[in-house]
Amino acid sequence: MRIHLFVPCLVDQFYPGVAVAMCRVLKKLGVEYAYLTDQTCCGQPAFNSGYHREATELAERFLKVFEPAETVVAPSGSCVSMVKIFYPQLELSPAGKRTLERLGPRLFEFSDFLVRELRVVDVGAQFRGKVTYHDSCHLLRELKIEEQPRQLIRNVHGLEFVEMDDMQTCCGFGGTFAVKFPEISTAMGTDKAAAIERTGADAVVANDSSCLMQIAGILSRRKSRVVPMHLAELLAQGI
Amino acid sequence: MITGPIKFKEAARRNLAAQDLRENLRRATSHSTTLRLKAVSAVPEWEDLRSEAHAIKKEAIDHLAEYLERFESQATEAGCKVYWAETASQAAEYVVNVCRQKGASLVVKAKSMTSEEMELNTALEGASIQPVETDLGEFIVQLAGETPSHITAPALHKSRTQIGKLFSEKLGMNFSDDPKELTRAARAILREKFMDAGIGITGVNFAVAETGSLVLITNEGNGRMCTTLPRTHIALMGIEKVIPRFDDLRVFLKLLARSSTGQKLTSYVTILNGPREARETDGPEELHVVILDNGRSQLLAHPHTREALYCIRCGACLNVCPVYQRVGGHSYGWVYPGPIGSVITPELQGISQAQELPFASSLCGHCSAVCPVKIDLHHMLLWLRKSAVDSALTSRGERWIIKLFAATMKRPGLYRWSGMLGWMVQRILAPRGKGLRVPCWSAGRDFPPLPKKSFHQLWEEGEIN
Amino acid sequence: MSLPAKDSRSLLLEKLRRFSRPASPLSEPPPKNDTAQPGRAPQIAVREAVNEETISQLAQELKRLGAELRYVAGLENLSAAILQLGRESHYKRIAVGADPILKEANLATGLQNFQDFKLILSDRTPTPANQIREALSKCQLGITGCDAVIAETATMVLSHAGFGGRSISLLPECHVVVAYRAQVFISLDDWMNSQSFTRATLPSCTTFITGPSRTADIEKVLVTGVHGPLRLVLMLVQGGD
Repeated sequence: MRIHLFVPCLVDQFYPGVAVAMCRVLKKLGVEYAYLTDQTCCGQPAFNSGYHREATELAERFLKVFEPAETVVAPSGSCVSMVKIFYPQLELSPAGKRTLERLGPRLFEFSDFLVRELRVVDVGAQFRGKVTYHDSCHLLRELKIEEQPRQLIRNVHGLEFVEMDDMQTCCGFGGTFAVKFPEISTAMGTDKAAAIERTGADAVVANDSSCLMQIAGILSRRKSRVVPMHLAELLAQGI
Repeated sequence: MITGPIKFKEAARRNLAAQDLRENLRRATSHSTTLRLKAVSAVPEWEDLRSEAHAIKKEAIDHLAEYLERFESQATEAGCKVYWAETASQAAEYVVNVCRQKGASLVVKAKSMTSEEMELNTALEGASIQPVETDLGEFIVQLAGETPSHITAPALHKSRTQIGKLFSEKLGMNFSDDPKELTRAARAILREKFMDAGIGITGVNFAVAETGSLVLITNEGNGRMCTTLPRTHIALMGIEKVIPRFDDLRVFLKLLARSSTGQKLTSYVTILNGPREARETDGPEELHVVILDNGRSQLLAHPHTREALYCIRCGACLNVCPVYQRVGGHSYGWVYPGPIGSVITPELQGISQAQELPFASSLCGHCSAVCPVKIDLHHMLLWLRKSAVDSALTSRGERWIIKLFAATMKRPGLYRWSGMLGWMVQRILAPRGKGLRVPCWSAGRDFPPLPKKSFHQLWEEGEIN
Repeated sequence: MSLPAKDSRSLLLEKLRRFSRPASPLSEPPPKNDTAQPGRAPQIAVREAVNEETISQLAQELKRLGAELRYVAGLENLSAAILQLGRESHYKRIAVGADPILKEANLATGLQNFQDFKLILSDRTPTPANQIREALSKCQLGITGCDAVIAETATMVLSHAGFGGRSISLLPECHVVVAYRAQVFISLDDWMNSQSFTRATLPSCTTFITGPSRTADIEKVLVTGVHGPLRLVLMLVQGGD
């Protein structure tokens, strides 16, 4: 199978290791991947802030860049839901609409791609330690992806999986919310970090780098020993 | 009525810092969400019920004029007097006039958020009529001179100690922080008020078009008291309360109590068809129904938010909202707090009065997931954000940032160049291996350090294979 | 009153019509114009008795709500059962409603024979209506029948026409509901299916009572007995079918 990588701007700029790890896992599973180097941002920050004109421009651009792709995989529930769920709410050009209609169903979030498309739950990864999982809101409530990441985590060799309290409660990132209401956002993140620490886990895994940016920022400020990790990074351990 | 734009951010910051408030909110909301989850999990057909309720509400709202007229004609046949009010002040004026006409000096009220919209207590007091709130939570809030902070649990922001102090100060009783003792004290005081009041005012949970029935739901029994003892009953309803058929109640009754308090059914569901009949010894001799618009037709006019009229005011979206849980109801600046408030306040009061509210959400979507009538609340917030932007209500600075952002993202070269620029700034300003200090971020969190190479660079340099 | 009621009405309706979807026609035909007399006589919905399992579900649910269930072997034993309840709780003042089941049990007379009780009210007491509620508020025990008992939720359906009306189940400290076992329905749906609800047949007031009056307005601590009865007792009488 051959896919195109969709590497969201946040991953590209701040967490390239996540995309690198994703490539390693895909390679191990025999998936060929290509990267369209003109890709930038899907437009979500503009859309979530109410700026539909700017969001539409970036959506058109995204669809044009990904025009050559047949199947697309991204390590982010948030950016995937932007394209799949929210692009249809924008006033797109006929060409953009056509690409979206074709590409939308073939755009996958990483864990969903592994479990439902490749039908793989054990990638052969190894990790010694206790791991807990945070349900990212877009992944859970827009894309309804709940079990796939858990199946993948549970099948990592040597790993002990533990659920945290309120695992489906928002970490407080929320895009521009995090900077518009930093106090509320930080308060939410602090409660999330406390729930993570209560599990006694060595690592907390999530599927969205945006949530991880928030969680890592709080854990680091708390001088916590818990390591934040993207699912792709966990699955690349030992392979 | 609100005077000037709601300052959510300011109020939220203040409330967030109040430790005891945080604890009261945490206790109450986690209690309610736990009970709700337990009750809902025990109903296998829950999702079907939600869809059914959504469809019934859709039918009612799509044909609002017809169903309201039908309700009016049936209720009038049953002996009710129906008054239509376009504005809150018209409604309040009507109520005050009825009280005056009846020579009432004391009014007992069951909890009604619609009456809060009307600022009815102020209007009554202005006419030298004493309104007494009889829902325990409302009674507490009225004693304290505050407004409700939750649509079903008005005094949720107060601790037992605060309530104990309030009672000893205002009611002259010995201090106690025992909820049972405090409740008994309120019972004794309010029992007398019920006996003496000439008028009972209540809200309406459902108005049945088919039969002209008013359905009132309370746990405490104050709704029953208000519709049993006073000689006149005035029921206040928003236009969205109408449901087509009596039979529809079975769906809503299953959803409402479970969503609200985790009960299978609320203690008292009262179904009223007109005033008392000739052979009856109690119940009101006159029953007035006030049907209020107060901006709701604005919601109807907007395709993206009209489903907010499906709301049955259960309060579940407030209880699960991570923002509400931390800042409390008073931060939202008007009658309806939480996610539903962030949707309807901008529509009912005008977006320019409440432009911060649609943004006061991390868009986690938990509200939409629990809504018993499947209102897509968090997606509505997105449309309201658009409406704030379209009305040029966002700051000039923000508009520029977004423009700059979009311009950058449209040019891959510029995008990459800004990434490298960021890395260089970080190298100069941030300690080695650390991220920058970023305004609006770094007060409580560390900012991630930018890596030397982006994924794009790694790819171009052939480091990915 | 000199309010322009008609004006706001037509203005509002006009606005609603304008903003409503140019949607499909109403799916529901307008209700038939009932010619029946308004006000339904207090009726007992009787049908095939439910099984033991349903009764035990009802018992469990009542217990969960903090309500009580007492079994009464036959209608002839009802007075004694109430006397026992009164003695246990030192209740003296009592009001008896005018429901058919209570009349059939000859309860008003039956209770008058007991010295322990002061029968404050029954439909035989010639009391002016405006004094009834004062008296009822001083009663410790208010006894009524009901239209139906719903096992799934432990709900009692009361229509309040007749003597004592809405107050007798509301003002006294303890509300005793007397029902035949045959009046028990499995679920609210089950009961609603057995009824037809039209404007003409619905009484002015119907109440579904599920447990005693309660609140959790202070720190979510459950307290029973806010405005309505502090205590709710269901006396389930064998038979009725």
